[in-house]
Amino acid sequence: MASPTPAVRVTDLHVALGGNPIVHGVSFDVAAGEMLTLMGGNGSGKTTAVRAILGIIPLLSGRIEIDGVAAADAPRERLGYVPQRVSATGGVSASALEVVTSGLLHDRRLLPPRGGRARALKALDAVGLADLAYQDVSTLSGGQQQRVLIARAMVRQPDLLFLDEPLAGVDLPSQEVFAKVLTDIKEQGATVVIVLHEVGPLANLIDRAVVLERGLIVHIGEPPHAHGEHALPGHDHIHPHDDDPNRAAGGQSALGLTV
Amino acid sequence: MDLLSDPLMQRALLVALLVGMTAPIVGTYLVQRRMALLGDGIGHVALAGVAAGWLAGSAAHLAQRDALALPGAVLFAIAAAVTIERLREKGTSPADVAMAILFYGGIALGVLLIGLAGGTSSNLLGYLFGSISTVTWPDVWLSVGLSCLILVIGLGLRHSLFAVTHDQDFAVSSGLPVRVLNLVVAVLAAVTITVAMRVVGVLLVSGLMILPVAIAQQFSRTFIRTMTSAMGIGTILCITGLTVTYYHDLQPGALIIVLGVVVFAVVSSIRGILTRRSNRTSLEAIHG
Repeated sequence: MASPTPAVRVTDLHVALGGNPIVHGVSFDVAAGEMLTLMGGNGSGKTTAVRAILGIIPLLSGRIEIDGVAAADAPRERLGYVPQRVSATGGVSASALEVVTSGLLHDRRLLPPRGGRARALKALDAVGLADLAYQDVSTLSGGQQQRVLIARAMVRQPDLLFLDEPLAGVDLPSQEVFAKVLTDIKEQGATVVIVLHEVGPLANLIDRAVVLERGLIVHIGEPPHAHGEHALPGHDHIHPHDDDPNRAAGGQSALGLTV
Repeated sequence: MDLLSDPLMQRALLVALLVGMTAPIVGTYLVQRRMALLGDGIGHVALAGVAAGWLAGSAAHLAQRDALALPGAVLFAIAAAVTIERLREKGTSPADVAMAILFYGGIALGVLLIGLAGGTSSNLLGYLFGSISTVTWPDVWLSVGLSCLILVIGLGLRHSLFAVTHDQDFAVSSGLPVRVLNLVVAVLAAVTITVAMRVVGVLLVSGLMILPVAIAQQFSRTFIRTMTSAMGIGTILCITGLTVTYYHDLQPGALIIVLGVVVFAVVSSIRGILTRRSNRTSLEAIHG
């Protein structure tokens, strides 16, 4: 049973990239403390949806609320984001410590708080990179760079965490670190939205899945693994939303399907 | 000691010191954002500002007709910086196209305005290639004020400016005022260009912002170390170049930039040799 005010509420989200519609009227809620995965194949719109929720790309239409507040006005102090890969294209060297310290800035906080350096070092230690704190991030392996991004998100001690395909192209040690971080954060009661291509080793942590296909929701409910399936569920697995059947119906009507 | 007792050199050295120290601060943010040539685009528009200031000075019958040249350059450069940032943000024109429009529009407007002021394009030569020997005390004090602004904002906001220039998407998701911070970088670039214009000229101003950063990158592994090293390198280049031209009849701006290119070539060659040697040592260790 979801709480009355969901941690995230997405209502009739439409997003276009370069004039091409990518997400078509997606609606779903994420309950406080829930770990929800957004799944789908390449081009399904899952990453675009998350980037729109975070305000990185503009919405065509729709409404996004975080803790009951319009996303644009919601404070980001306890919101973490781990992008799919290092999206930075900076031309100057930056140490892992500098990157993680930047995670302490949010909203109108333009300077790190007192003790920020110690917090950043602690976050790096938590992902096993304390020894590489002063290393240029561009010289680290892909897995290590991903761990730096996780530390940058975790340094805020987030209540709400968005992760975009965190396991894509990541080495085994980094996957283990990631699984531990995710287990810890779930135990602490944080809300997690995680974009995945397949649930894989995270199956036991995931509470619910929203599966997208060509920008439309084709399944809301148990993650695909619960049915013993390897492939993503088909259209016949569409379930109404737990709390608000009308919201789930929005996604279905776009497909022309009925429950 | 003749050097330091000459009032002209006192003014020139002070401005060179300020420019050498402050230009690489903004240069570091521009290189981080991969907009190293932004300074060129703004500089060309600043030239139109010089001509507009000249025109205003003539219209006001000022004794010194170029008294308003530097304030004019500041205003035009800031307007150009804001325009470039808006175009980049909206994505209506590719960044290089927007820059090219400013390049040619700025130069053309400058030549037209200087003609209207009763001058010729040769009056702009000092601004194109720098003329530090013509720096007046009012110019020095304006440079001191603007340099203090660059130092305070460029260093004081280094954490948030780093966050925005390093990973804009993450900065947006964090709710940081990304648009304002991007504008701050653009306006700082505009101010830096107008201060540096008298030393190296608008045609070479980007070199003074970027070369010290490029040199510092050869041996720095952190952002702040790159920035502070570049500030030191920029200062040394400017003071050295100016000092040499006091004893030899050479153009200071050009010498400063050539010195920077030579230092970059030497440092990057040394780094290449050291890297190859380090790789060879590692291979030998692996294969016994």
